[in-house]
Amino acid sequence: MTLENKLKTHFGYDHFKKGQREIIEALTLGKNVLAMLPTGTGKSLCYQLPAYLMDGVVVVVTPLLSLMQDQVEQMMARGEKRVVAINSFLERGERASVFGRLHTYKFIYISPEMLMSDFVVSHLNKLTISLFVVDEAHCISQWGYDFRPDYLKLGDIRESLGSPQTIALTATADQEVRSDIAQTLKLNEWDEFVSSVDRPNIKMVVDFVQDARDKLDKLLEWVFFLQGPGIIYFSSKKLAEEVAIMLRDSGLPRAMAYHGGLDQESRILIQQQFIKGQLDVICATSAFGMGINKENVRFVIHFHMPLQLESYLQEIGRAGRDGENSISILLYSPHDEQLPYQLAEGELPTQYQINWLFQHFGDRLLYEWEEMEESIKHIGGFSDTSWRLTKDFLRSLNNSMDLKVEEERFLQYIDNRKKHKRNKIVDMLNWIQSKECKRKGILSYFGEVKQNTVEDCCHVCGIAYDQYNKKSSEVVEVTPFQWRDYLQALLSKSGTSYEK
Amino acid sequence: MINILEHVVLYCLSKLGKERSSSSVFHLLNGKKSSQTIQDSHLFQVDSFFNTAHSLTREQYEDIITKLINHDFIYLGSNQQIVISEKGHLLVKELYSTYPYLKRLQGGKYHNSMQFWERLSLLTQVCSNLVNKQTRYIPVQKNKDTQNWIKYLFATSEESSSNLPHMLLTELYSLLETSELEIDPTVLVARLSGFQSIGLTEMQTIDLLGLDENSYRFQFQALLHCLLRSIEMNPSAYPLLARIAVTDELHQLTASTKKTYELLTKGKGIVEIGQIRRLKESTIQDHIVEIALFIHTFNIDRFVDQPLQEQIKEAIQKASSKQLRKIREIIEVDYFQIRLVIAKCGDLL
Repeated sequence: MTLENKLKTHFGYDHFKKGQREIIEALTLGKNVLAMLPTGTGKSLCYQLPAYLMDGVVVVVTPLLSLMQDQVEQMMARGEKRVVAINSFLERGERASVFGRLHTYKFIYISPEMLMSDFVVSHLNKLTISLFVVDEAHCISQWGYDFRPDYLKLGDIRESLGSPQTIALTATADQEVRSDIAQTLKLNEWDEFVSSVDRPNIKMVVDFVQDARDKLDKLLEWVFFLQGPGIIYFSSKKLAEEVAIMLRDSGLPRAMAYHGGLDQESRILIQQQFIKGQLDVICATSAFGMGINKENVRFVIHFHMPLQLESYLQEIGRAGRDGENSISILLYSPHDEQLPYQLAEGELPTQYQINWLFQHFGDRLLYEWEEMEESIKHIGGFSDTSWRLTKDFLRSLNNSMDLKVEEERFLQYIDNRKKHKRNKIVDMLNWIQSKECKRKGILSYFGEVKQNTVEDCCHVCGIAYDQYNKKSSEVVEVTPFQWRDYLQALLSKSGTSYEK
Repeated sequence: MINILEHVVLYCLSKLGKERSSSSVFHLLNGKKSSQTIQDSHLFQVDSFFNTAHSLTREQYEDIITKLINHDFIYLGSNQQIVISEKGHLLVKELYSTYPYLKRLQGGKYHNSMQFWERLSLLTQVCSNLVNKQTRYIPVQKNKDTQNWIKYLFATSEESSSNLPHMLLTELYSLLETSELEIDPTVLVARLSGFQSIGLTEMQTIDLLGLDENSYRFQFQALLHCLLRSIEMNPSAYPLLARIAVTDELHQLTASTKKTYELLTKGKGIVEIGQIRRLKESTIQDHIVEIALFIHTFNIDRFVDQPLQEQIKEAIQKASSKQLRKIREIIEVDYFQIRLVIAKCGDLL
């Protein structure tokens, strides 16, 4: 059976996307692989397809729980039932039953924290692991964005699992990060596949506005001008909500907000409404988008500047997955960088908090902190992210250490992180303000050289905006909701789609 | 003016306030599964509101109390207990005439209504996709219990699964048509998802109907309770829906009560259970009252013999009140025994 046959049978596609075939071939030859593929180019297929050519089980390590859940659901949805997600959501009772039939799964998705448990590793060791997958591998490097300390231990775990064949995948990693990944995972030999981060069908615009008021006006102008569907990213839940309401009130009824503050049922529904084409615009925080496969997103607007070019690239990468021309707009008004600086600081514990922790708890930090975790977090005023970092540090302590030295080391570490984050924001800001071609700027940031001329490349090179204009303003017929008709359409064969 | 939620809070306070702390109304609306809340709600006849405002937070509740005080509907008595003012009493009387659909609430009896909703929503989506021969879709309910339950339903159904969508449609039609409703079925139907159309979120439905959040939430609960009641009264008319309306009675007990129940079924007595569990006898008695409330097959004869049960029922009717003190003035028995009889037969009295 050829690879194409497998692709058709298991995934329903006729052709590979650019870059996939080479990676899959290397894996079938038994090689370790480090692959960098831009978002939206089908990373997961690179390990899911070879899995069907291998006898054993595929273990996939992935750091984001929501992403893991999405992946598993999408596999189930395409008919692969031998898949399980092992993470902290798994309840005690379920856990026992999952480990009892671990050998019946083909794909085991697992969070790094679960892999830290000897119990889990010993169960995995009873299986034949044919492929070890590290997704979002940039989290391994503290110079990669979204660094996860848990990931540093993956090399040791991989060894204790008998150093199975491994593939590390990421969307964004410069040379430094890539060598960090290989080193940490203790790969002796590996093939490296690096695709360009360039997505020529996504056009890049930075729109300079005067102030916050002007920005809102410009945003509305763009949203009414551009062909949807589209996503608008905000750094604040509240603003995402407010703008969604504003859009609905000013004649775009099919606009909704999406953020982590919504209840789960609403989040699923809004996501699915967007995917099915019932919504035109999503006003989102960065919580939206991961694991969402929507091919025809035509625009992405950033109302606030992202904290680094890597996330900017990830987010605009949700546009144009079908290969059609799409546009991304970043709105910038003077001093916009203040918000990212604040947000970045909030992700780290302050010197004051660290001093307090050591003075107040002293030796007890070595053994007792876990029982007091909630109250320490609360009284110390740690944010979720800053506490996660602190917790990882506390875990690394043992009683042969001099706490004074460790405190200093931690402060130093935090200081480095802070500088690192600030540098990322400066890079982002420089890119925004630079007068040269936007595409060239981003490519050179990732160590690439812009080779070809791209039509409608960016606002510097010039864009013919007309082709991104709304095709004839489709008037959505709003018929009053009739519950009988709606039920009928849902549950009977003749059911045609019903417009609410 | 005060909104429906504030009105309901005032009403519940008027029923329980004098004897209980103000937070017992919060626990009641919030559906806190403690023996105290559950028993209070039955005793003071506000169990219809149990768990009908489960998204209410403590802060919101405190704000409501403050507002009721500022508007002179209630005031704080000498022991900081809540007292209803004359103005408040007038308003209390108007609750059901202002919001007739609140009469449909039966939160104490159907406090599993959200489980029913999750099952109904997922079953509809599964059936809709089945009709359209679609096997690839993302379930709109993520709760594993609900998902497993739907699988179980399909696996154990006597009907062939291809008949289920039609059954569901006919049953839903007749159920929603016949429920003598002050409530537009859109409240629920608009939120259902299927093959090509994804249902509305709660907020979208609120916008669609032009309601305020609180009225919507009470209507949604009232409708669910109404449907559950119709199904319960006439299960043979709704064979499929009757299956999704079934709940595991044990599930409804608090964890501690469940342990007591297990020991009871092994034939242990109150004193013995108290010793085994190192709990006070009165606590075990609380558990038993809770069991009597929820487990329909639970027999209370070993704690109150039949003739005594009859006497207590008579006394309750004479006292025309479920206040224990008043009942005790008529008949000389344990509080525990009165509570047990109310729990077991409360609906009939």
